[in-house]
Amino acid sequence: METLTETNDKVTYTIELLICLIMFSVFVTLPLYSTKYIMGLITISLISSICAMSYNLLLGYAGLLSFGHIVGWGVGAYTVGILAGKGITVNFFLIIGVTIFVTIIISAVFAFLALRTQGIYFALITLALAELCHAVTLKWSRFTGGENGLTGIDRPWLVGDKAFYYLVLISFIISFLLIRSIISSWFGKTLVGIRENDFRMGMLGYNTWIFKYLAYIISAIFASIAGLLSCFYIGIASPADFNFVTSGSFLLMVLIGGRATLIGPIIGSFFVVFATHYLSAYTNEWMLILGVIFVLVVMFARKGIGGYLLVWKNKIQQELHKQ
Amino acid sequence: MILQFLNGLSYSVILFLLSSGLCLMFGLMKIVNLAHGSLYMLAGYVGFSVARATDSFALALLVGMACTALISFGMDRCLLRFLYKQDIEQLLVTFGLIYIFENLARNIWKGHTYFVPVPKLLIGSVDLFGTTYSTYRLALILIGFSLAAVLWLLEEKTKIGAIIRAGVDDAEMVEGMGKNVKLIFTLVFVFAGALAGLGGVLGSILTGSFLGVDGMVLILSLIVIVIGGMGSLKGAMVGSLLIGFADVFGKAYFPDVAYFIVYGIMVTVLVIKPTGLMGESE
Amino acid sequence: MEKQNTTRTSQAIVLKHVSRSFGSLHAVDNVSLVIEEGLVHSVIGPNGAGKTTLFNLISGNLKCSAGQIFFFGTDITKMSLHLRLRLGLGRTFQITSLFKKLTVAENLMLAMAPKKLGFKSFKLAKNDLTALSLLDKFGLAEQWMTEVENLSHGEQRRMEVILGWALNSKVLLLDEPFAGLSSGETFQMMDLIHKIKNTVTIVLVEHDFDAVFKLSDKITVMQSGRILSEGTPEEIKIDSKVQEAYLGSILDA
Repeated sequence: METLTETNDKVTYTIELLICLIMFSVFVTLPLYSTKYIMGLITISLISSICAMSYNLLLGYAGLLSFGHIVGWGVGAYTVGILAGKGITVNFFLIIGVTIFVTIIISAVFAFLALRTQGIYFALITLALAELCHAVTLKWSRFTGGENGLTGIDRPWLVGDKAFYYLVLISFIISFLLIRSIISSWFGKTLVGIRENDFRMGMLGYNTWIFKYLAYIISAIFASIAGLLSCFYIGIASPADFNFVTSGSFLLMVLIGGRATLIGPIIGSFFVVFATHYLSAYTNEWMLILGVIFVLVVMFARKGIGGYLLVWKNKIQQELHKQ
Repeated sequence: MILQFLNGLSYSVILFLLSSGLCLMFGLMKIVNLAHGSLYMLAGYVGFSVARATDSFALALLVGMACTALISFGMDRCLLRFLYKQDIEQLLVTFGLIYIFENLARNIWKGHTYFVPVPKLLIGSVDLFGTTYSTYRLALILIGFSLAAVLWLLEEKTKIGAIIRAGVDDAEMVEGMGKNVKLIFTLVFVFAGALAGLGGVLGSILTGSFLGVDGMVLILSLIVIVIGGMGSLKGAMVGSLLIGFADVFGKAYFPDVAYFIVYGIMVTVLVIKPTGLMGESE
Repeated sequence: MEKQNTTRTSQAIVLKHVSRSFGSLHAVDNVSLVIEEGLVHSVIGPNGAGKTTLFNLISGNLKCSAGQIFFFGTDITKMSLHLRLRLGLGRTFQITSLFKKLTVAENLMLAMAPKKLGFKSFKLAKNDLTALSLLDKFGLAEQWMTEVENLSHGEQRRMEVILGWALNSKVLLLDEPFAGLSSGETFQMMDLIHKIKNTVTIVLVEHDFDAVFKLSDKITVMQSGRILSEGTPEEIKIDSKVQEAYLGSILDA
């Protein structure tokens, strides 16, 4: 996992930059050579990556297991659903603004309630609070469309798939850069310290509560942007956007991809999205397979793909240095 | 009014049946088995199948409980014993199992809703306090209270509870005192699994078993122990009663907001005492 | 980190009639005590004397049942642990509480950081000079990229003290730093404390007499929650009350 020390030397840094540039060009030119189907999957993967990266901020970097991350996603989806779906406004930026505003308020309240506890208590309370939101969307039908949710939502500016793909790509890049700067800032380092020994951080003089509180809210904001994009993409906001089993898929992305690494959740997202789609096309047992992978990763491969890549990278660096 | 009272009571008992296993495991072993709802679902399904095949409720109940006990045994032996004192990993592993169990259930029972049939002895209704009430529900109330009494006795009055709690904190020391801690943990886990099975079979008579009931049961049990206090058996009883009555009376008199009364209570408790009404203080 | 020695030593910590009871047990009973700035002041006593309780009362981990505590003149009796930390009262832990999976340098960095909310970019450079020179002084420079969990027990205990010291406190409370150390490790710990004693007032709670007598400027002996005797190491050595309390033989060091 990434810790606090700069482990990249100049060579590695250049290589990483090169890889980023290559990936960037691949993604930017994608619509030119990709099928619609693949582009769609990649769109979903990029959206999920935003949600997974911010989930990782909480789980991987701050060490807080929360089952309530889905709340941010759901708020994003339903804000779009209510504002755009009910014809209140289609101004994209206004919708984003409202989404972020509502997310901050709700996550501020939830974080306040949940952070009065820690560990398992915390995880379970976040689960219960997420379920509260789920119940609200189911029962408050007049407002939220009940079980069927809200439908008929158009893309912003009524753009087609290709243009929407670029919208998602831009959002992804912005989110990536923002989260990266958070992680490499003092705030991020403090979160790592809290993850490693919350008690001692308090004894060193840190107000650990405020750090956790802000981390919760910040990660919720990114999740809400992801949910917002998702709702625009598929045109529906439904109670499944608050379902804790849905939140499980984001958890899986972080776990498989690698906790406490920056690119881990991205890898995990692509893996889970593609695996789910192809698996469910070929077999009915895809849930079983995902569940087994989940369990195996937790038991035996806790570092995740990203974690192993990091170890591998460090080993290579050490070898090169020896020469 | 009497009817509502009895309904509240029977619902409370169901809630207690659901959450007692979860509560026991958390209170004694600091483990939360998120697959708890899955055990309910599987027990209900198995109970149905056995009852259909053998026409015996007793057998259905026993086999259902045995199944969940066996599954719990497997969970402990294969997974949880390697995750001693790793709270987060335990949670995650049991979470992953939810997917596996639901897939399993879909394969075997094809996603249908099945009800365990009411045991023949308890079919029908009884005249009580001026109203007619389902015999089964009455029996359920009695069973629930008996179970509560038995569990309370086990926890308070025997050494086992103390040993287990000590073992959670410091296994080496307890082992030094000559008790096989791992064995005891496994036994507790299996026992809790059997309890979940009991709740599953008995509950499925009323709710039926279906894909999705695992999530519902888990959430309800969770709310009960969040309100009552995680790890406190008394808390589970208090929580069950509170929610049982709040929900039933809420549905009867304030149907529009009934659903939120329960959540309202939960949020209130979280604000006042985050670890639950009877939970440990921080 | 050199502090200027004031010509008039002020009273760093003053306890006035401090008591702490647990039910009917008077763990600390009407203790009045002065810790002077710049000194190494040890608190010793047989098991159950109340030293650990006293320690926790000063640090803020426990609240007083009665009495007052002053920190450089300020009444801190009602202050929370965090406030006391901010005023300059730091402590270490008998059961080592470090960041096991982080490196030595990273541990130090966390202790020395400004502790405010900040989003400025930061990465600990592989050759961070400040951290390196500090660790060099303490004999841990070679291990600065080693994860703390891979340090020896003695090194970890020394890290514990270093972390406390890195807080840049005015007063540092050391909670049994010599507990469980081998003789070689004890020597290194004594060396460490010797190196830091000029920069911070030290309050030491300890069982290891040898270390206490060699390091301390002043010793307070407790018994059954009360102060039995106080004085310089030489005075305490010949104090008959203290000898009686410890049944004599142990003091023949």
